[in-house]
Amino acid sequence: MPLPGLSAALETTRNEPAQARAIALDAARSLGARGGEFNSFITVVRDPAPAVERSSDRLLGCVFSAKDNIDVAGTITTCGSKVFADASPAADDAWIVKTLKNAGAQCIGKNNMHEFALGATGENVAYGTTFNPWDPTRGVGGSSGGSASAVALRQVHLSIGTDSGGSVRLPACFSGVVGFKPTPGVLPMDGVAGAAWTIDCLGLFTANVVDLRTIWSALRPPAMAQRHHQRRIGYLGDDSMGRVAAPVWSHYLAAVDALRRGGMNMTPISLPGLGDCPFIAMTLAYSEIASLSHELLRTKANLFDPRIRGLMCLGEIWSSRHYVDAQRLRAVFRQRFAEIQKPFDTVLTPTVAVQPPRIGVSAHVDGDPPTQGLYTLMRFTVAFNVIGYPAISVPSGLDGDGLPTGVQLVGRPGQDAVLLDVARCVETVLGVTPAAAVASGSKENIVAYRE
Amino acid sequence: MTRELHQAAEVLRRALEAAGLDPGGLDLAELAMIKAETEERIAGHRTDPEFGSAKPVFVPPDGSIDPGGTG
Repeated sequence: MPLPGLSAALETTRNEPAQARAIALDAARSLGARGGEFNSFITVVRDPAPAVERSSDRLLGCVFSAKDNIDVAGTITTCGSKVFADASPAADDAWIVKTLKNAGAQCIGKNNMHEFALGATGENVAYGTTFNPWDPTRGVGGSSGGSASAVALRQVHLSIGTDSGGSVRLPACFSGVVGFKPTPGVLPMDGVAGAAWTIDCLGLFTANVVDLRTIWSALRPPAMAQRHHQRRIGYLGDDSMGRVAAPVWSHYLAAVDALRRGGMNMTPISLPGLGDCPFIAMTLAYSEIASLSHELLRTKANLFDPRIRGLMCLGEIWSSRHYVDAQRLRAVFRQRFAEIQKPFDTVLTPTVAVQPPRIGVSAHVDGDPPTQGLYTLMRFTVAFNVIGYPAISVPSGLDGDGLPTGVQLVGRPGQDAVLLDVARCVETVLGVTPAAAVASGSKENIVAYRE
Repeated sequence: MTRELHQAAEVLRRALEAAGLDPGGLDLAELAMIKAETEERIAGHRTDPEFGSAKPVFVPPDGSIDPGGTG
């Protein structure tokens, strides 16, 4: 039986709390191994712990999953790597998992991911590539690709991911779902493994902004009345952050026009100087994860994907001066962006510069460094990890090739609820992308790829 | 592979070995390019006018949570 939408599930359990268990069991039991042909899961919890079943719990009836670098008691946290395949199951839930469970939500599994969250394609040698539900010849993005796929397929209402360079927003864009990276520090990272401490953040995937706001209000009850805010949006109107593939740019400009017609106050802006943020993020992430993995790189080197191990090795040998320079640059870029953002409630950019790339094909746009597909994929998202701003990817419909598109909204630090308000206004104009229309023949495409 | 790239890959191999890391199986030429480009792009900002007075920012960045915000 298909999973009912979040609003319907919450309504059902408000009247009949005991229905929450049936909803979660149905959702868990309908998943194939690894979540089905798209490989959205690494571990499925077939018999999730029953919710407390108090009708007062705000998320009773909500079914969720977590990226496999987030602890769920009783399951192994693999970080998408063979390195941890035989680790002991987590003894406790991560803070975010515990908080959701306490609000009545039920966890049905752990999502596939790019190994150690050090990539953005969703290709994983240990647990299989996560395929894009809209076109299985294409990647779903990453690193939280399984989470995006699970929500796009409506296997869960919510998935939790992590985002150190766009790992929530990017796969959300490629999958036609909402991906939200709050202000760093708002959601505690307790129980999240392998994080790049200074830029990593928990993030949330949902089918739409209405669901996201329901969940956010359970996680972060508003402490005060919301401020009045206008809908003044500064939108990136040039290539100051690098070029964008033609079909993506034309669809983005169409979204800008639609928002203007929808009553938003849209002003074109430039964002010069943020284009080097991917290099800052790579410096920080590789160094910090190398520090965490120092022993593993020497005792279990053969268990890593060599591409991932190579990046961690770079983090071992970069100079401390290089690392600190990168941390200092964050202050420079943060101040520059704050000045640009001043007149606006939010800033709008494309979420990603390209359509979802074909599996095995590196993303590239003219002007980007050769061989650095990661740079191309995260160019727009990573800037806001580096400077510590909240950001959200909202679907903007399907492009001419039938692939999902998205726009990124950037809010002000600490004003996450305001950002979600604006995101809802944007969603009202641009519409909600429906559940992934799994093309007939998708299974054949996947089998053909694997062969 | 150009001679320069080959040399950069060899330098990287020696650095990894000196650090006690196994370079076997790694695409050293690609990693050398990533390393060089990343270091160059970061170092290129040392001449930015604001860089001289910039202090490192670690997360949560100081002051990133607006106490008057609506969370």
